[in-house]
Amino acid sequence: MTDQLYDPSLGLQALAHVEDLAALEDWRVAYLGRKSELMQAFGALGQVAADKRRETGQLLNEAKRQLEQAYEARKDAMSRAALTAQLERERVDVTLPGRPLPRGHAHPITQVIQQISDLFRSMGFQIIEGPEVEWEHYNFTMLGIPADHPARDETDTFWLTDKMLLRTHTSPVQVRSLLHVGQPPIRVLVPGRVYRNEATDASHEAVFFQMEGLMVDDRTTMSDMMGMLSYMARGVFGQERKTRFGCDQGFPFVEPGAQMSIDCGVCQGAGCRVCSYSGWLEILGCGMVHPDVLRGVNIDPDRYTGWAFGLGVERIAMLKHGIDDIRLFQGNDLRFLRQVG
Amino acid sequence: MKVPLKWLARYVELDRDAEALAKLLTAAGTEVDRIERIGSEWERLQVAEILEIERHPNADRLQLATVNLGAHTLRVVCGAPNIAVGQKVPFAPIGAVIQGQALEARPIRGVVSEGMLCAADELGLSPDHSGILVLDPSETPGRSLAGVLGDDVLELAIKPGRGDCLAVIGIAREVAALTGRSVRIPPATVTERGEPIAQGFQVRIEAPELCPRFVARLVRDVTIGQSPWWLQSLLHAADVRSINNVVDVTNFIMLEWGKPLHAYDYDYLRGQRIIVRRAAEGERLTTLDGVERILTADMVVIADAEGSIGLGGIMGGAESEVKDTTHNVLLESANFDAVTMRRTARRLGMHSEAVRRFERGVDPAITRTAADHACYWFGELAGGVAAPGALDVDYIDHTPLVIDFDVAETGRLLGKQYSDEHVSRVLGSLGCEVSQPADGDGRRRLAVTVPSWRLDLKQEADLVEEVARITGYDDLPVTMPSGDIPLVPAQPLEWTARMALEDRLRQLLRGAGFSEAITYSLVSEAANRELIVDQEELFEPPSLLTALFIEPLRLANAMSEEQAFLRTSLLPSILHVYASNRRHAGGGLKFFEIGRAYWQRLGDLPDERKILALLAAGPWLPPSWLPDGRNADFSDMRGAVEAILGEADVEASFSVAEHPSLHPGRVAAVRAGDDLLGYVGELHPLIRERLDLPPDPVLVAELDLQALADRAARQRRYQGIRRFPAVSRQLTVAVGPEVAAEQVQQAIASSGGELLTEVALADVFQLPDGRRSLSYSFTLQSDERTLTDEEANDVRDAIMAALRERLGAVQR
Repeated sequence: MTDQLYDPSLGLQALAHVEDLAALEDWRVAYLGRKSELMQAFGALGQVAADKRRETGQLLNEAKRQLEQAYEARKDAMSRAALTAQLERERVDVTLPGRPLPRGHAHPITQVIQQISDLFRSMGFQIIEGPEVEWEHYNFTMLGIPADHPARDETDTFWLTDKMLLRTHTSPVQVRSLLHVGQPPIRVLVPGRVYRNEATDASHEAVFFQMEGLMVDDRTTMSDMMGMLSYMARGVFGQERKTRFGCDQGFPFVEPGAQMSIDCGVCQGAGCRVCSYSGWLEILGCGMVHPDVLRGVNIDPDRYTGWAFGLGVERIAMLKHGIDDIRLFQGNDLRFLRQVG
Repeated sequence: MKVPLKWLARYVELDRDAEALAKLLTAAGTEVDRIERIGSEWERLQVAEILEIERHPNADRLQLATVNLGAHTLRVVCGAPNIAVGQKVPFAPIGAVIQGQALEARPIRGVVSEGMLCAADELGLSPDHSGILVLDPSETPGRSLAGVLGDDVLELAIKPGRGDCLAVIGIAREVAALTGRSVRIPPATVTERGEPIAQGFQVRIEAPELCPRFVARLVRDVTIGQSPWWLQSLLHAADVRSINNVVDVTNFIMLEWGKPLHAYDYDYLRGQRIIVRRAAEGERLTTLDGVERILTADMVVIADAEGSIGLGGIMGGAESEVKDTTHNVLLESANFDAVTMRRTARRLGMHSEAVRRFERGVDPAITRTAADHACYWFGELAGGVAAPGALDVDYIDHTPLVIDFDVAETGRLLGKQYSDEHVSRVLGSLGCEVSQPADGDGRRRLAVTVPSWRLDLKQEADLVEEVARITGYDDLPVTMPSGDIPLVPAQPLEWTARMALEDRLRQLLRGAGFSEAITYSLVSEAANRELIVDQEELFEPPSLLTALFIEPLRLANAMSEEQAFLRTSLLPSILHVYASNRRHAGGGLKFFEIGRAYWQRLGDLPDERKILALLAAGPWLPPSWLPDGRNADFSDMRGAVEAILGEADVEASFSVAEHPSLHPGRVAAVRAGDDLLGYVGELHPLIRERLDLPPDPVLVAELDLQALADRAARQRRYQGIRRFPAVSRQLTVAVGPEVAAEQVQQAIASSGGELLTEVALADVFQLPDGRRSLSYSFTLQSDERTLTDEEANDVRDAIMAALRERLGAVQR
């Protein structure tokens, strides 16, 4: 071996010309491999004179450090460049629409029922159901509408037999639920389908949905009814809306009877076509449960009082969404459901 | 009930306009539906005075009238024979709109008319076209006609309990109470002459339970003719047809007092008597509409000495009716039993204004009063003279109802306690007599005597409503209740669980792309039949698989054949939703409905099954530019059903089944144990063709929601996470075509032992020899140790052995 010192600059120069990973590996074998000049120089270190061995060793180590560092740097730069190139190849048009997740539409009737149910649940009401095919007794007689009474004419009824009918309102469930619990207090809300034997047009359906509410307790009043129904109306139509109550003598099963209106959302109460220029929209009928109805289910009307209301679900949805034809609800046209569901 | 304000103003002072009055009445429970404005189209019409009448030069039947309009005079052509110099008449100038048409200045037989004199029908006041309407002689020429004849008519919706409001006087009482005024009832001053009615004539009631009171009066020497225009127009405004002066008076009294009357031609009555009795079964009577009626024993007839002359309260007989030749009138004012009136009218289809009042109940105290008022008008309008006295057979107990009223009830029911003074004032304004009984027991009680016309006031709650509605509901505070929240369930708990599941499934299905439909529960007779491929009767017990064979309940009075039956299945409904949407909706269609089917039960209400129906057709995934446009198939719908079972927490199995509408090779019954939960399948191609649907497969499912909710695992318990690592093994077997995947799955589950924690089917393909290749991957895990390869292989071998033995499977 000569005394000539190992010079790393040759290798460093060669590295500058390496262009791809294969050439880099060749370079590594040539300059840092076991058979490289540098490694051989390390191997020959034993033959170096003892006094120079330490110095030579240091020089070789320094050369190796330089070559290795240069190699790592070069390798990093090359893989970074490769990754950059790959990422560039993987570029997509981010402005293309995404792959859609399936999404179905909620029926507006269900939406109103769920919204009102949630509001009443928050006031301790149970949501319950009852049969659509009813006995005349529950639909009429127990609600203060006896046979051979003109109040029966107020609703055109579908009959199945002379005793069995399609319920004309959800009110028979009042009677059923009171019989079920036996003893006040009770707070129930009853959504469901009802039937009227009348011709259909843009504002009348023979088959539609109602919600019935009933509360009986030893100390509840018409004022409570007004409070809870106003809370519900503002929950459904907006906190800024106003409610108003007037007398309604059309429900034989309540006394006193009432109806609730909200200020018209179209004209803000100024009067327009939607509210028949009154500024108010009637949305439900309500009242204090008639003492005879309570007596009929063995609840003492001198000890307990109750109130009830009934509303048309479609009417609420029509007011909320500005729908002008009630027949759309059971038409199930997707062009309709997509807009309101 | 239509009430012209000018008529109303006869009985109560009106201190506000129609709008304000309508609001006041409506808020107090007498709903005003509409305000009709008489004269709103009379913008340019005026009162004219006829100054001169000449003959028309070219027409015998026409005249030329020169009229004074105050500021100027005009000449008009007039064809009516009744005009005379000095009359004040309605005049319409050129350009005014009469019966929808603008008047033009056109020559009539060569003479230009500068306007038109109007008859009552041309003004919309009554159907009378017999001549020009002659106004009060004191009217000023040139005055706007609307100011003279115009009026506002309230159209009121009277509730069944308020029969007293089917009378102008009844409405006047409401207005008086609401405005703090009093009602003025005009007195009836009847001029009587001649022989008293009681001399010779008799009235006998044989059925007082059907007719408890009968008043008869005799009016002699009437001249039948037309009513004056004011009466005609009042009747017209109230939608009652004018007949002649006598009949019009009876109708006028009915509208004024709410008391129906009937006038007989006295000279026709045989035997000087009226007998009120039950009809004989099968008795025949020709009513004045010319129809022969066959009567039953629960109807009431009015008879003379020889036979029936009228159907009491409903309609008179043809022969005894008042005719042009009538000279003497016998007036009937009677009270009839409400239920009898209603039943008779319904049975014979004879609804009338009179029946409407009788079935609601008529004030029993005004029977005589109403007759006297009618006699007064017979004198005024028909020249008749009343015979002295009346025959009044009266079985009614006129003792008034006195309600013992605890004023604290206002607070208990309304939430606001009103004072004795306030309550007394309000009830007094409605005609009640209120007094404080001397023997008070310390509670504040009032004795409230109900007026005879308020048949609806029966108990304290009724009086509370009166106080509230007359005071105004706005006066009540708005509060929230203080009572306890009820804990006792108000319906069976399993229904509540099912309703909660319904809400969860709605969310799940919406997220899976199904839109909710709500369809009519009433269907046609063909709805089921057209979905049955082969008309074979199935006598199996009713289930979701046989629901189309269940005989549907039929409505006794359906509106149309299209909606005459209660559906037994949701399948026709959901298919209809698909059929009606497919033409305009692009891409795949996915719908669900949660609704009821109605299965009849003998002698009981039907079984109302709450059912979830699903439908998918066309591309399963939403449309996009990506290549995902594959059509929905059986596996898609079964996947949806599996997701539903997962949400419901129900373990269920799928097995081969039959359904009359579905592809015989693509329908599965869904069962939990032996209970049928529902089915999933593909619509039979013949049904698809029958319904004119496109060729894409239509996938459907129906699930019984109550069965699903009842089967849900009651409670989930945490089982701990197994700490030792899981090992997986694969196994591919070939089985014959008769072996169902479910069988393989069950064999694996039963032979895998407790180390087997999961089995997943990884691949299925058809082998050329007809067998199927099924690949499974197993997850094995122990609670106690890390499994060795040998242990895992042993489990797999045991499974393979079982498959070979039970199903003839061969390992591949």
